[in-house]
Amino acid sequence: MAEPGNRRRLVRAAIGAVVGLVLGFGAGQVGLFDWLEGLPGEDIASTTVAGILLMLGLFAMVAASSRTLYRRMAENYREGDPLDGSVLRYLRASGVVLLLSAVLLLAPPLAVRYGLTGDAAIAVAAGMAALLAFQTWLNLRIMRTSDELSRAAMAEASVASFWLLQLGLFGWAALARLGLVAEVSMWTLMTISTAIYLVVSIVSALRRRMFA
Amino acid sequence: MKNRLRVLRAEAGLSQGDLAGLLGVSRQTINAVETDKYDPSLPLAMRLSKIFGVPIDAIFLDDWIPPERPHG
Repeated sequence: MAEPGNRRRLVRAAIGAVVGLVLGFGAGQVGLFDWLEGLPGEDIASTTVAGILLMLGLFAMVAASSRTLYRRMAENYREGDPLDGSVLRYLRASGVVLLLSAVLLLAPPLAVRYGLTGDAAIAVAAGMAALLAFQTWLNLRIMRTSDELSRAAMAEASVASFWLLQLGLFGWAALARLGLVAEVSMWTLMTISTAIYLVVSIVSALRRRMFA
Repeated sequence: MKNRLRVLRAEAGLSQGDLAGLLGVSRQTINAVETDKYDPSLPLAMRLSKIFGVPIDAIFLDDWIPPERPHG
């Protein structure tokens, strides 16, 4: 017999699977996959990572939208526990950072796909610079206002990502220098680094039971 | 690090959220400490010690025994 906590996780996983199926089917119906086929591999990869960031960001925003909803979604939240407003603020700010990351990751391939060049490309770059500046400020604010557990998880994710990327980059660069593998573009490297940081930060937060 | 935080908190009649509020940290931090997923900073450990009125080593359990120092 499954424990209540595990049963709840199974039910949520089943709901997530159904929602994913419906979203995937809907995306196919509106021609998203046909549209993706026209993109180079690195842009398909970055668009996929952007899609994941978008979903995570929306999920964080929905969870932070009401105290009642947060209490229902957070595991191990005991009845009667006061809900610290900073938890919701942290979640909301993290949601915004994730959504901004998705937009920043989507913008260049979309601009190229729709043939934006010259002044239009400069306008896209300027818009991205403004968003990046805002996102950096928000990230610093999250870091400053977080408590020590969040800061420890962020520091751990940063160190682990750096180590993995340094290792991978050195290995690939050495092989490329020897002519054994192809050179990769800056965009591919950026997509890989974003994907690695995303996975590592989720693992770091899960290890410390930050979703509990 | 293993600890008696959950027991001490229960004895004091505090919820994780109550204790988090007293210490100015998130409830997740208290939860992570109680479940051995996070070792708190020294300042936080000292605040825990003050709140429960017990020494730090009555909260955090360490079975390390220092090696005997050679006598000169």
